[in-house]
Order: sequence, then C-alpha cells, then structure tokens
Amino acid sequence: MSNAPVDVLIIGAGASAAAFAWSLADTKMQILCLEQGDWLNPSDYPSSTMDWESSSAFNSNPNHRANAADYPINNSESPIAIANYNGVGGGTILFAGHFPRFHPSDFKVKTLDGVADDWPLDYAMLEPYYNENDKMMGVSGLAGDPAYPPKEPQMPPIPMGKAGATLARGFNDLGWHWWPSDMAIATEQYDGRDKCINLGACGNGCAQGAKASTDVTYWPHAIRAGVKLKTRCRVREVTVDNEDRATGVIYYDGDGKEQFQPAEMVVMACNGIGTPRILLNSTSASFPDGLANSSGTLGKNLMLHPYAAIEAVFPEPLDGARGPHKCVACHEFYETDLQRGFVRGFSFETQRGYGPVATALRGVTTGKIPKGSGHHAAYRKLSERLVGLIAVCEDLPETHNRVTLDPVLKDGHGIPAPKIHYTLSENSAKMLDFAVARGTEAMEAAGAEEVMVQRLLGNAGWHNMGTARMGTDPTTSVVNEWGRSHDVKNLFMIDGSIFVTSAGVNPTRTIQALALYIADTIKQKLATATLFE
Amino acid sequence: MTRKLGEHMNKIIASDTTFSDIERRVITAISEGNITNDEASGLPAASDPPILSLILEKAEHFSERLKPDIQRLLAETDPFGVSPTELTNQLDKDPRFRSFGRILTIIIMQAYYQDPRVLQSLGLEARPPFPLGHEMEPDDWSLLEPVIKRAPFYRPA
Repeated sequence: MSNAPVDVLIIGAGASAAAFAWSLADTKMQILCLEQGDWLNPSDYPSSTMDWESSSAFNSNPNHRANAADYPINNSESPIAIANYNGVGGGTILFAGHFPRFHPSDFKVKTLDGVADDWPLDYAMLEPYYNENDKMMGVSGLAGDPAYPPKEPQMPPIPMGKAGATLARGFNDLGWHWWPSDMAIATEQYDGRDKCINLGACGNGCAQGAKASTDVTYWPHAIRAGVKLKTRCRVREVTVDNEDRATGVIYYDGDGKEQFQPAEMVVMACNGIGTPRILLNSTSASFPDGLANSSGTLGKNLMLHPYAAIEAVFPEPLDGARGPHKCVACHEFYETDLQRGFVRGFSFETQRGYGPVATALRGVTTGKIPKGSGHHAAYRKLSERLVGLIAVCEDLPETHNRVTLDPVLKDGHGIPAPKIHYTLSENSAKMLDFAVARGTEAMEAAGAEEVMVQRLLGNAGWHNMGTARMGTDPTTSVVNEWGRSHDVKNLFMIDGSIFVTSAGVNPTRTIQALALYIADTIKQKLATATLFE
Repeated sequence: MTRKLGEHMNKIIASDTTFSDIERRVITAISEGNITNDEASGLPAASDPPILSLILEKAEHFSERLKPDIQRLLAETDPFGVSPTELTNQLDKDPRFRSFGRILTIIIMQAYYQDPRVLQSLGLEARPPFPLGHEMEPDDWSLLEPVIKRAPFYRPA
C-alpha cells in the first residue's frame, strides 16, 4: 500500500529527529516522521507508584524491556549491552538529563593527539546551534566553568545537595576541577514545563515534565508548525530507484500491514544502532552491501563510552534517591596527558544516591549486605549513604567494533536484529584503570568509609556513535560534512551514528546541535537549489 | 498510592497463577532465606504474606525461566530439608542454580523494599516520588570559589 508522497521523511522520533523536524518546519515543506514506538503518557511513568524502581516497561535494556515497540539486540559479542528507548522522544525519555557539550578539542583529535580523525567541522561552527538547542531544550547550570568556552545556561543549576557538596569538598581537597552539571532539566517553569521537584526518578521518565525529553520540548513546537508524526510505524528498508536516489521507505504500520511511504528526501534518525541496521537491511543491485555503504564503513567504528563506577559508603546519610542524579561533574582528566599512559580522557559524573531497592541490590551484589541474618543491620549501614562517581571514558573508533545484521535473530516483523561486535581497546582499558584509581582517590578525599568499584559497567551502552561517520572522503566515511550520504544524494543521517569521535561526555546535546546544523545547511542549499548536487 | 496489605495476595489467589503449591513453597523458602525477620526492629521477613504476594506477582513475569529451575531444584536437591538461609546459600554457591537465585533475589529485593512497614522502619517516606517530590536543602555555592579562581584549561582547537 502506498501513501501520498512527502518532501521530507524522517525515520525515528528521538533527540535528533525532533530538533531537525522543528528546524526544517519553517520551510513549509511536507515533513513526516515515522516512529516505531508510541507517545508516552507521563502518568504512566513508574514514579507515581511504589514500584518506581523496578518497572520492567522502562528498563533501559530493550531485550529486558521487550515492549511491542522494541527490537531485540544481540549483545553476545560485546561486554557492553546496548541501552535505548523506542517511542516519541527516544532515549531522552529515559536519559538522566546530563547535558554537557563537547569540548573544542573533541573535534580535532587527529590534529591535537594524532589519533582517529578530525571532524569536518569544529566547535565554533556548532556553537550557534548549541545555543539554539539550549533554548529549545532549556538547560540548567552555571556560567563560568573553566573547563569550557563561555556558555550561558537558561536556568539555575539543579541542587548540589549533600552528596554533591560532599564530593565537591573532596575535589577541592585534591585541587581538582568540578562544576555544577549542565542539565536538560528545568529548575524554573520553562516553555510550558513545570520545574523539577526532585523526584529522583529521571531514569524512568519524568512524571513532572521537568526533564527535557523531546516529546515535551521540540515535538509540540514542530507539530504546531505542521510536521506530521505517525507512531507504531516500523521501517524495514529504504528504497532506491535506478539512479541511486532514495524513493521512500517500506514500513509496517500499527496493524502490521506493509506500507510504502514515498518521499523526496529520507532522513535517518534511529541512533547509532538503528540507523546502520535499517541501511544494512536496504540492499539492492546498486547497493548489495547495504545502502550508502560504498565505503564499506557503514556499521563500523562503533563507539560506546566505556563507563566505570566508583561507589562509596559515607558515614552520614546524604541524599538517597532525592533529586536529579548528575548534580556535579569533574573534567580534571578530560584533556590528553600522555604521562597517564593513554590518549584522550574522561569526565566524572555523579550518581547522587540510590533508592531503597537499588541500595539493597548494590549491597547484595557487592557482598556488603548479606542474605539471611545480618541483612537488616548491614542494610542500615548503606541506606542513604551510598554515592557514586561514573567515569565516562572517550572511546576511539575501531573498524572491528561494529553493528551487523544477525543472521538468525529477528524482530516481531521479521526484520533482522542488530548484532553488536565490540571489544574494549587497550587505550580504553588503561583509561578505565586510571579513572578507577582517581575516582577512589576522590571518594577517600570526600570522607568515604569504603569504596566499591565496577571497572566496566555492562548494562550501560547508552551512547551509540560512529557507525555512519561523517567526512569529506567518500572512501572512508558514509556521509559528508553536513550529513548527506556520499552515495545517495537525497539520503541524510542526523543521529549519533555520524560522529567521528565520541568525546568523553554524554552526546545528546551535540547530537541535537549537529541535527540543527544539518537542517540549517539543507535550508541554505534549498535556497540556492544546490541541495542534491 | 500506598498498597493495601493483602492486595497482592488477593490478586494472586484470584488469578490463575502458574506456580503450583510446591513451587510457591520453594519461592517462599527462598524469600525467607534472602531476608529473615528482625525481631529487634520488628521488620518482617520477605516471606511475610503481603510481601510474598508481590514477590509471586513479579515472579509470574519470569515463570517460564523460573519453573524449570524450581522443578530441577526439587528433583536434584531437598530444598525443604535445610533451613531457608541454608537453601539460599546453596543456590548462591551452586552454578546450576546461580542464575535462578539471582533472578529471585532481584525480585525479592524489589518487593521487600517498597513495603511501607520496611520503608518507615528505615526512616524513609512510604510513598512514591510523584507527585509530592522532595525538598532539598539550600546549597553552599562558596564551595566553588577555588574552581572559579582557576584559569580556563580547555584546549583551544
């Protein structure tokens, strides 16, 4: 079944799609977004129930969540399992709201450090789009961070709280950098959203609507401007004509019926796993190895941000689960220092505290809380006293880290599932070890009684980047410097898959700035009739 | 918002639970072995009826994985011939049942640590986070002074 053609067809309704659709809406083109999930109702979020810590419907692992909107992911050849959310808002529904920018050096790693590749753009080029995105999402924070060029958040920072202050004193004792985190969480009423009331359940969806998931930020504006968004539509493949131009997509609608949606321009916004999955599944005589894959790099160079967790027990009760978790950040070890034994660096973000269930599970898992007798006394020693530091380590691109199509595993519509092939590099391993040592030092300086370490978090593959990298050379990259496929002139990619390197901070703010930059470039080229040249 | 005592037990009894009586006895024993009662503080064991009913409700979601292991446990060991604590220790040590025990432990902790009596005993509020939220104490931003004095240290590029 075929639908009326549209000018712009966006696949996926997450962080990048929302920003892109909103920006492009002022062209008055017919813009349609297809999303495999549904709209979320904040009243369904678990934080309004006693079972708020353990709702499987909002588990970050799609294999455990297994909602109708989810597709399975084979993580058997990766120490890090992929995390995501499928629905309007995508990963921003479950993200913690930590919203750092990349640093200027992140775009020039080859020039500065001789590794990986430089991006075909730089911080200065993205800065106006960072600023535009900040206004749309609403960023809380504090100006003046010496780790960054100047930037002005829209709202005051989230509470530092007892936990943040405790860690800050530790950082101060060591003479290290720390700063209130930039957060995509409203601390004042903002653009129709209510302010944060410190639910502490950001990772399960924000029932208050204070967290800037794109279903409550960009999408209402984009839809009012005329963008159409259809949910429960799972795209199987992008189709092309004999002249290697994208003609539209084949998808399954909410009733499971196969449909064809024609379009003048197709835009992939399915994240670093979903985008290569669909394109690898879009084979034809011209593209036997997957659409837009003449370089052979589609799906390769997957970067995942290895995380280390350094958790500590403090003598006094701190914040527990109250308040957004990522209250302060430390960028002391962000830039390269080769004396550390590795190149590039990492940031520390905080895990302010843990709820009652998470405390029990952390305690039992680490052996701090026994089962049977002694359980209750040991629990009381941990309750509200646990705080974590999470090291977000820069992952460098390697072609053997990749996404392929699983030959056996399929989703509910028979579409091949993605398979993750990932090994930790020696550089990342050394960085994790260093981060664990520094995190332990920070916790001890902050007065921790005991420190517990998870060197590599397994269930934390939130940041999926690099699998359709951008570049000026069509033999080594999938898209050009403004997101257009080298091979298919009316096919664009706007999500984290186009990242050249990963930086050592959360990527959503940069994903969205990049999507706005690409949309703006498209508008400029439309004006000069050079878009498809 | 707060669960009424027995609400889940009624639901389990009224529904077509997939667990047989003996399978439920095994889950009950493991629940008690994970968290025993504490007479000093008056805290119940995880096998306390309202908590157990929630454990059983949650276990229903994993019944396809749990039932074969329970049957194997019954066939190859004598789960009722040892104390609940010993049974739980055995599960943790036996590679055949480690995954089974881990799933049940997660379920047991999830159910136990949302029981209002338990939360109140720990000095925690027995309510969901929303809609009331939480008050946070005012922050002392003077802590930032040494960092504010620091010169910018990002690498220009």
